[in-house]
Amino acid sequence: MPWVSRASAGRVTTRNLLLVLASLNLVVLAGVFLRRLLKQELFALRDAYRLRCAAMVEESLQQGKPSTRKLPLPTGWHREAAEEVLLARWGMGTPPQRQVLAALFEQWGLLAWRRARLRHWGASEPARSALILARLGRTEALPELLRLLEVAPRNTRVAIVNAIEMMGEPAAVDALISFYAKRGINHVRPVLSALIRCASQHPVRLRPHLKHPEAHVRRIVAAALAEVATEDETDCLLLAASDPDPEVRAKAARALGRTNNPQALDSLKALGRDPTWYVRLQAVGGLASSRQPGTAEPIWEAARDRHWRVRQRAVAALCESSSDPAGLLKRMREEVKDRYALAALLSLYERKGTVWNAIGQLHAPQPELRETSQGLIREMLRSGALSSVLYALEAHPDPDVRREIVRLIAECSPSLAGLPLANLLASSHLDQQTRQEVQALLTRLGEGS
Amino acid sequence: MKYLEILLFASTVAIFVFYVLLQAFYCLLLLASFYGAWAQSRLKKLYLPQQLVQSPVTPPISILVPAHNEEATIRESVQALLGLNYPRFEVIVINDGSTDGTLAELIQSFSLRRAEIVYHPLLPTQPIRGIYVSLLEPRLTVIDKVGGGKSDALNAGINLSNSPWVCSLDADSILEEDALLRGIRPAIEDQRVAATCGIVRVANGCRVAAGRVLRVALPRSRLVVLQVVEYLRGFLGGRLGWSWLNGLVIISGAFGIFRTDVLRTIGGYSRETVGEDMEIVFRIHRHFRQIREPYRVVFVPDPVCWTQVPSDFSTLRRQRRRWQRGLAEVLAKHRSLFFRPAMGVVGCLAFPYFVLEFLAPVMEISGFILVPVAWALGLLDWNYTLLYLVLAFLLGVLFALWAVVIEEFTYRRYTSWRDLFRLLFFALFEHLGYHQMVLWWRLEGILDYFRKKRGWGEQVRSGFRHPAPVGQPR
Repeated sequence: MPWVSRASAGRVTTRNLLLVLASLNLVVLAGVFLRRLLKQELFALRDAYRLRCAAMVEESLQQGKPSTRKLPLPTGWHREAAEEVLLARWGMGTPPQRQVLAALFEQWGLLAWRRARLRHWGASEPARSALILARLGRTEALPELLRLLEVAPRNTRVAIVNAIEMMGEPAAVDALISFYAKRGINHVRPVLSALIRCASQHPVRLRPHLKHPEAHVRRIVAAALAEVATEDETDCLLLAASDPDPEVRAKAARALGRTNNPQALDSLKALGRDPTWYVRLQAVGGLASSRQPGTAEPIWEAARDRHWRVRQRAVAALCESSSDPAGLLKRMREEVKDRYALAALLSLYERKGTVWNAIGQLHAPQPELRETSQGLIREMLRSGALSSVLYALEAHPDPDVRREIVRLIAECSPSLAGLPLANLLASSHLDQQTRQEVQALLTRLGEGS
Repeated sequence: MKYLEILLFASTVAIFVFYVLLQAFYCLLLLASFYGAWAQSRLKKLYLPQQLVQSPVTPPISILVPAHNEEATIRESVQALLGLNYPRFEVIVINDGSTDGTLAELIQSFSLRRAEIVYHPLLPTQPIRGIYVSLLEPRLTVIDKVGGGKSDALNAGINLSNSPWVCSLDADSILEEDALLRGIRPAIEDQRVAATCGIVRVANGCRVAAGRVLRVALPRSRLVVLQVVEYLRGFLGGRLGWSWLNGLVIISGAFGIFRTDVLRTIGGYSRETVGEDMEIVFRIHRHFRQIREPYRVVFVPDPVCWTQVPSDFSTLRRQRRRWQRGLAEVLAKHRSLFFRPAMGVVGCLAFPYFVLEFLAPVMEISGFILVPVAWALGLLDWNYTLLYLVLAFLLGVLFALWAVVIEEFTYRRYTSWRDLFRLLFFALFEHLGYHQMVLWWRLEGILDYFRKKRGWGEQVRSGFRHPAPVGQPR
């Protein structure tokens, strides 16, 4: 057997490998147990220490000032345990309690320690320190955080941005934009969130960056302005509305709506005719949020847009501003003549509960309420929206309501065409009385057709 | 005799090369997962869920729950989903042609009513019978449709979704309260992320109430504990490693989060395979490579989804056969990716690895047949064979133990000493019997593929409230 003898040459190597593997497995097994044992002991020690810290914290909070007793914090391990206790209490503390806790942070040297950790060589420790300092609202650490933002490795950058966001200092806006332009292109959402928070009280800080040469920077600035812009930003937003980049135009449209400035109306109308669909979409949103007169017609125009999302948004805007659901549905059916827009409107009514409420009030004692509800159901039947009405015939608990529905169907449907009433009769959920009424209606409609 | 000897020699060499390649992949994954777990444990401390909840940029998510004959679990599952800690989300349950009382249970529990809801049939699906909204819970929508399988149901959910992200779930899965926040975090932090997924853990044996896992424990059933070890190895050993290598090709159907526009662009879930969770990830990779846009598919180990695994042999057998058939279908469909440099890690590493995984039952069972044949013919060097078998066993044990090590050093869900002992014990002896049994079922799965078997087969749920006794079919 030549191959057997050749193979046996490697036997020694295999045996050695086997020994190594067996030892490795044993080490792994022992390591798991040892780790569990150590962890349990350490957890117990840590818990005991935490309890001691917690007692001192509670004592200080009761006194309304930091305890004068000294807490030994010899190692980082002790400091972390004390910090955990303080942070847990910070989360549920009232402003006066937080003052006491902040004083304890200082007294125990934890603030100085955390600030020193901002310069730690590791990747995650500076980021963690930044988050803790930001949580405590230590804005004096902002310059250090901004320095970190420039040098932080890829996986901890976002944590630094989040820390800056928590501080919410307007002074950080320029640094955030500079970071985004150079290194943060993949971190759009965290940077945008931080910009919105930092610029919420001072949107003026964002204005100069709308002229940035890079389109991706202008986009994020416009997106932030869409959340924080005031009337004072109208001029720069009007310029952004003619930006060559469609995303900037789209965000500018949304921001212009926020400004609620009559000067913005013409620009919003023009953006509503933009060749890019999402610019038109945001323009509709802008028109809807602008409380200026003269916005209704451009929104009705948008309800006839060639893109379904624009039509959907326009319908939502019209629905928000209208107090007459039946009237809106009628106008939509007669003027817009678009099945999608009609479906989108009905969908909104359904989700808001308008349709089910109307069905429930079909037999209400108040004549005004009854007529309004009947008006909406009539319009729905004329629009061919039968699903929920027919479902109510099966499922509504009130027989008077069911009778009223049958009457309305008879009134609005001159023929059997498009009415799945025969299917309805097959349903086992239909009660006897409604079944008879539906059968009578079928006979009547059959004769009519 | 000489020809037989040559044939045996060639087979032995083939099996040996296969074995060395597969073990090399395992070693690579072991190292990658170790680094991935270490990095994740560092980054975990930098995560502030409350900040994500309050952020204006946290995107809305539609949770898609395909349900086929889930009467026993559906109410509890939906209630638990509605209680998730996430700022803006909707739950879309898709009743996929259930023949039990799934829809009735939903209608009764959540006061559903049929409604005129706008539906964009962008992805083709089986006909929709009706869309229901809840009078009690505006975030809940139910689609009632003709049965078309899980992929078809998910496509219907994607059609109805208005959110930029969708989360696909199994109806009998339980998400932890923060799972959506943790799952979407990579996507919020990095614009390139197209899909993310979390870890799926075994819920059998855990104490569950009101759709929440209250106490984590291992079950009594040895079959289930063996699956716990498998799941730990698959997620903490495999997916974590592949994610770190940027070659993740499976996002578990039990819990995955995807960009809705990407799913729509690539045509939604494939209705031709039972391995739809793997197939869609391959298409995502293909799509982004074709349009040359940077992207990432990420596994995050801390969002946890709890699921029930089979506790009897026949259900487990059906599941494993189905998985293997799904793998075969996906590999056959995307065979053009094999060693394609343009596909990067996916084409050059992940795909070949899964080809080896697919071939594993054939190669290993061939080995089991060849050894006695060679012994009967007097061709076997027993010393060498024994060494080889022990080596294979020890390596297998090492990979199984490794997953337990990562679990113990990072997430430590099984807190009792008893559970730790049992996990380690079953990790040690998984390769004696259980592994071979699963190999056989996987071989049956390969045969099913060549027989062109289709569909998921019958699935029975008992719900978390009334767990079936050990060894009884669920």
